[in-house]
Amino acid sequence: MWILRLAFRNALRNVRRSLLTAATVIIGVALFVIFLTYLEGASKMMFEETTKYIGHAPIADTDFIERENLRPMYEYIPDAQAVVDAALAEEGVTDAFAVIESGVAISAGDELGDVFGMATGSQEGWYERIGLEDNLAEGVMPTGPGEWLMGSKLVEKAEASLGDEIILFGSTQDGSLSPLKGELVGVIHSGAALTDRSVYLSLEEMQFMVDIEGGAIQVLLYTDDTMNAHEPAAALQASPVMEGLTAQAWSSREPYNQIVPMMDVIQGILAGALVFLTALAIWNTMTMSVMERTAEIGVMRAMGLSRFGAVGMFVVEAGAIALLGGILGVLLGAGPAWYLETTGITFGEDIADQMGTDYAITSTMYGDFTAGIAVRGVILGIVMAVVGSFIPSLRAAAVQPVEAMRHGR
Amino acid sequence: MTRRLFLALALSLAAAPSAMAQDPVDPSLAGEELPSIDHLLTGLETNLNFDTRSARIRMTVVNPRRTKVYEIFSYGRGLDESTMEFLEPARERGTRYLRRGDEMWMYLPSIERTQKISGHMLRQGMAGSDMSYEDMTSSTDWAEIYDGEITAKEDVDGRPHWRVELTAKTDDVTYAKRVLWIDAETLIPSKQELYAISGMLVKRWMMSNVQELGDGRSYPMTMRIEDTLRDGTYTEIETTEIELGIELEEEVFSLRWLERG
Repeated sequence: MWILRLAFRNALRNVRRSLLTAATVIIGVALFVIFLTYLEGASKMMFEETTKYIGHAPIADTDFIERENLRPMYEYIPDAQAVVDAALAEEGVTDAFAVIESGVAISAGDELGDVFGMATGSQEGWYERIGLEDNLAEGVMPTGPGEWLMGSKLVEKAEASLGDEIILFGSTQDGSLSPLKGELVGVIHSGAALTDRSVYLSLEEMQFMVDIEGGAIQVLLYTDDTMNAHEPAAALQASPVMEGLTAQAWSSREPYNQIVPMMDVIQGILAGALVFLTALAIWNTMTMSVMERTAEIGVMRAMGLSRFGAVGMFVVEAGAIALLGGILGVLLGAGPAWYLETTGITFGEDIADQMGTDYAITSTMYGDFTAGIAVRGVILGIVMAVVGSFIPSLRAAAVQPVEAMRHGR
Repeated sequence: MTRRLFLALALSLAAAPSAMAQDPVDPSLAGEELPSIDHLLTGLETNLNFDTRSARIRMTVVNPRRTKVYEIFSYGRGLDESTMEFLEPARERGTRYLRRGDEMWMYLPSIERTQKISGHMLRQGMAGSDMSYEDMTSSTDWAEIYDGEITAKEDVDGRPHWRVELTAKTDDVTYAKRVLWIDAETLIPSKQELYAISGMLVKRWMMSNVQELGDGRSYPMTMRIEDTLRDGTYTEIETTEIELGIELEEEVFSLRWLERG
């Protein structure tokens, strides 16, 4: 306890230097809070948005997954309803829907065009789950087969209008040309390229197009824990209906199995860089402090202060400043973090469009400021101070009492 | 003496490379009177093409997951004009194709539209089969497109065949190389191997069940096409009925017929 009292007293002896040290910590922690707020918020948004569309644990034919980039439509789930029923019976599974997605060429009106997009067919419950109606920019929701919704990007490219006859040229599971005709009744605009480049049909219509009666390309599982869908997926895998099929948590699938750990790495690099830069500044100020107090340290060492005690004195002093600096840094960073959480950063739809084919990226990404980020900010501030003060404090511990007292004269 | 010996040696050395440069003759051709490439290809074309004809065809498309059977009715005139209408199954019923030269159209009854097949669509298989639209529209005047060479005489299914290698004269041909086994008697190509410009084998065509038609020609009533790039798939085309020399109205090969039947 006496070390703590000594540390606070020493911190107040040179207020200017202590404030400089604290300011370094404040800025470092504030920057950390701001960046982490945005990084975690944006990645959380991206994962939530993505898993909304791909499910927490998508189920597909094992051969389909192996060649997913080629989208081999003949590797489908023959009895989709049986898989849906088995999935819903598993603990932790809240929803399951059959989905078929296929590339199509789209024409509107009399002209046969060459606009390409994705046609998606699923059950009504899935469209409710992804909140399609919330993104209805124009028109109405379909009331039956032959009434379709189309993403705003496709509508623009195809030069389509509400009420237009839309022709989709897809292909069957054998690769044979397979057309469908419908009416455009609504336009979807979500800001996410994945959504805005799709045409939405009923599951039965897509089953007809691809010629897989009763089948689906995927069954999407939704669980009560997005980040821990492994357990229900593994439990379902043991079911007899899963023969030839694989249920895989989204975080285990490409490209997310690389993105999720990459976010941790980015966070680590960010923290490491801020600690390094801030610690350098603290090192500088603490070194000056040690040099100025050499005689004093000598006297204290002569009076029985151990080397450990000398190290502890300076580390605790830096830590005390950093604790205050960390709290103030969090408060300083909270302002911009709140702004990022409420207003976000808008990339512009062009950039989101270019990036959003694999990941559900919206044109505006928001931060997410949490108590966890605040706590990590304060801890990081203390870490910065400890790292920055350690070497100077070792130097203090190495001071010989006689030499130090002679130095002070 | 020395000078003559030296001259003889020099001449023999000069002759050796040119002798070595000649392709070795396949032993199967030794002593054979080879037909001309023109004769073989002309005979082949005579057998496979008609002034006019109608035919009923059964096309079976086999892939690892399922087998699908189509019933088709077809009219044809010469090398360049043909039409087809799908009769079964119900999903494809009423789908029609029209070919004129190297152009092709399809009529899709479900959307009541005619679509010209062009660009990347030409590479798709018709009705998911191993026969692409490009196969259907490409010229069969091989004597014009390819340089040919008889490379061997081999038995296929117990019958003597001429092995003929055709190499495309230009780069804008679907199959840069074709290797044919032409029946020495019927002049039907019982087997073909089709190669891309990279040298990769992309398809095999087999023709069998050869029957003599009324006008003395031989015609393969069964064709089998294998796409070597896809495992476990093949397409079998069986001509179940054929009638030659029929009268055909000009309208049959028009877009109007395509849309109205």
